Amino acid sequence: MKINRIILGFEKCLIVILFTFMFTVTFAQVIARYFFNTGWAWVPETAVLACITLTYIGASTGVKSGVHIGVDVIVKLLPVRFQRYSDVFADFCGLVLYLFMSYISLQFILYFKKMGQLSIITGFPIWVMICYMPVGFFLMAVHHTESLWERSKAEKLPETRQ
Amino acid sequence: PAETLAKDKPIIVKIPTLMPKSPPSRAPTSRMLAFFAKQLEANSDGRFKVKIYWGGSLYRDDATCYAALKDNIVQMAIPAGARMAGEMPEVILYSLPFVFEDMEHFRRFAYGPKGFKPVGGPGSKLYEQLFEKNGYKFITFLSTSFQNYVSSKGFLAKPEDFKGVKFRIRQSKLAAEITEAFGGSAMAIPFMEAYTALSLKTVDASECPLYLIFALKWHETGDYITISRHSLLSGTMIANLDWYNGLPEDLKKILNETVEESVEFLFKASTSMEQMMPWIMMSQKPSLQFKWLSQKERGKLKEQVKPLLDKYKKTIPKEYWDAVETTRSK
Amino acid sequence: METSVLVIISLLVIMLVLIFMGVPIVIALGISTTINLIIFTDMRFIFIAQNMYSALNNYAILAVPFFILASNIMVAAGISKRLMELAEAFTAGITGGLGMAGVMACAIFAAISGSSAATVIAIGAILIPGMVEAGYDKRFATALIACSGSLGILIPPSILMIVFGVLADVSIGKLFAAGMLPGVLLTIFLMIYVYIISKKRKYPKSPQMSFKKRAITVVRNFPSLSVPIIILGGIYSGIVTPTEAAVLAVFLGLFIGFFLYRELKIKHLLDIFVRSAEMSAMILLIFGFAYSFGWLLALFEVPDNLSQMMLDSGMGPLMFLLWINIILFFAGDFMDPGSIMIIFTPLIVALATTLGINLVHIGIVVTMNLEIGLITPPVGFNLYVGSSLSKLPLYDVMKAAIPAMLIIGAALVLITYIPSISLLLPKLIFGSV
Ligand code: NA
Ligand code: NA
Repeated sequence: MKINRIILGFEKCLIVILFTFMFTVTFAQVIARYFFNTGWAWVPETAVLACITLTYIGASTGVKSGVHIGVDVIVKLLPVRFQRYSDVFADFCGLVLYLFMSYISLQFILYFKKMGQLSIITGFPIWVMICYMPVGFFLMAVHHTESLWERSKAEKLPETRQ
Repeated sequence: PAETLAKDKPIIVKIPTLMPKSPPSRAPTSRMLAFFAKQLEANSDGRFKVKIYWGGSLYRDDATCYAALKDNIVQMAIPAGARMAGEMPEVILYSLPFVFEDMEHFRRFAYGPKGFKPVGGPGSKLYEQLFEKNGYKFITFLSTSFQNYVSSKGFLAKPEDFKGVKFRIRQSKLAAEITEAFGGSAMAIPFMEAYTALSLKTVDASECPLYLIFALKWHETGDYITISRHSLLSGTMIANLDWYNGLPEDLKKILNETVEESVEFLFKASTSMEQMMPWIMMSQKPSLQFKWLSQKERGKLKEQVKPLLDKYKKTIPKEYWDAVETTRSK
Repeated sequence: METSVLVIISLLVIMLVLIFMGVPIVIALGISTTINLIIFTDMRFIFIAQNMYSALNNYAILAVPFFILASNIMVAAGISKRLMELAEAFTAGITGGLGMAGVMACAIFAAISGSSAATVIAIGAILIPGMVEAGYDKRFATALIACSGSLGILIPPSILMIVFGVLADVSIGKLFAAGMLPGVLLTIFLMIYVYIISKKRKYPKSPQMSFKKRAITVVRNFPSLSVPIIILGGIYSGIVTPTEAAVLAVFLGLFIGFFLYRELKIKHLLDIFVRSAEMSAMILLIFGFAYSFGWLLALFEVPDNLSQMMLDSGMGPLMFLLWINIILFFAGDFMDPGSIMIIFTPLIVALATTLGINLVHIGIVVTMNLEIGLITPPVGFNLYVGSSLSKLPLYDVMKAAIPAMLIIGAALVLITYIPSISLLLPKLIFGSV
């Protein structure tokens, strides 16, 4: 699936850009304050914003690399066949939750847009600053779908999970 | 039967606040809120039931809090200063530097010529209309005191004194603008880190009313307190518009009377506290020095922030500024 | 009162059932919160999204991705090798010296890194093979590193303390200072433990070093040691805030990796960035959902009611601390420390405030409890990492870790009931806590 690789590449690219940006502005702020007794009020707000966006991206690529930990104590006691159902169930839960979150965060953004909420320091509309939120949740759902897809293909193979 | 029904099912008033619970907090606003809750229940014979969520346990983030108010999840809220400026640029007015001469001036602006009528003053009347247009009920102003500076680098009396001084400010565009207009550099540091940043000299100075400087122990971090009274630490009390309009007339009256009592309570509490503060602080820390700015020094500083004031003169309608002028003492 | 009991039970039951069915914690938390929001309130759904935004809209949170990034960079920069050499210069010629050096290296790496996982991986990858080669029992070596690695969250900087500070509105600078002495104390306890076991089992002395050689080793490896000094010194001399210290750590890691040791290559960075983003997102996404969870508890006054019940039952501070230890021990068996910290802190803080217990002290007690959780089965991250490093069955590592776990437990008892151990340093630095 080519589209998946494009999405993942896009996400990784964004991670690098955001991390670099957060590092540069915050570090520059420290230097400016310590050596030149000055600073910029917009730095914390924009860095936090980048951090929020980074969270949704990292959570999304994390679905693929399996960083979201669960507890498999009880599941491991079950026969292997049931273990696979448990994996499918987990992916399904993720898919449902994140699709739902994607939808409501879109609603939330529209609501903040209507209310005209501005950010505290830069005075920029908040809804613009968090518009990655529904995208991020949607991509998390996409990655769970991918993983369900792969599991369904693996169904034909011998039971692989140890 | 309607009355017994009302008694059985009291009207719930949920109020979220960032202020800590009182007691142990001696902050006037905390004490006032506790007083308000008690009085409202007593005055209405239990037909109001007030639930206060202290210390930001429900909302720490303003934008979310006002959205919750609009959805009637909470019925009242206490927005600080210019926090609603995104929706209503006019609210910036009462947080601008050197707009009010003294608390007496502000009292006339907010509550009218006598007493503490919740919307008795020309200022409050304007804001009541403004808030209603934006879907909120403006209940009253809740202002306690002016902001002063505590610093470890010396007094902040003249524009030159601000050069090269690093200020801790709360997260606010206006606070940054004011600090920079005076000539200092501003750094937004979260409330919980403010004390450590001040005491380790990551920053040199910060602003707050005296009683808060004392409560937060900021006076331990620097030896110089400048009584500059440069801007108001302002607050308002607002309510969900439909909820308020749906109240029976007699309960509206009780609510307004209780608000009046509470505002008077707040004024007494904070005025006496502000006046006593320098002596209490000095008895705790003898090396502490105070400087009360003279009218002339305040005039010089006001000159310094004139470009900022001019900028906001343009964005805030004239009638608001007129209300400030007409209530100024002759 | 009844509703508030119902709310907390329903929240926990739905979450735990999903977790035991194998659903990742973050998803279980999100689903449980959403379902309970529907059952108990007539709130609009967008409040979950809105709470998520509120939770993360906080400057202090910025330190989480940066400290994780810094740890990952330090590992790739080859700093752990130097830390081991450095520590060995101090323990040369002592029975069990290599093991003791391992504990010490963990403690120093902990002063750079915000997480335990990074500490176990960084030091364990070098120490376990080294110890086995020198004749130590492999199980002992693995268990030791799993336990010492838990110092990562106790010795500042610590991601869990940042989370606690944000949730409890406590100064992170003070929490960091408070973790220092308990961290040193536990390090010493663990070193004594290694010494006693090594004497008993006749493990080898580490090779003797002349004074001159020791001095040369220390000087040559000083750059690695300077990192924790610069980070902590930067915080306590007021050059940086705790949040910015994380950025400083990243800078130092890049500098050392690129210019000093030259083990770091640009091509490593992409991987490090992505992995760090994922690790931090794992914590912060849970944080975001937990905000709605805690919000529901607050709306139904669960913390207030619980405190009232506690006061009515006559529970005092000592009893309360004991209960914290017990509950967190069991929670630590099944959940990862980050999730526990995020979910339980609002409740613990409400109760501690009622009882008048210092919040900085409680922060340290909770952190130490979570350390134990890292090495208790079935969910014990450090055990997993240790067993995957040494290719030993989890069960063997677990059994071998019991004595060291008891030692952490003993230190925990001391620190829980003698608050001045944790509060001394913040008092000295800030004048008050
Ligand atoms: Na650490
Ligand atoms: Na565990």
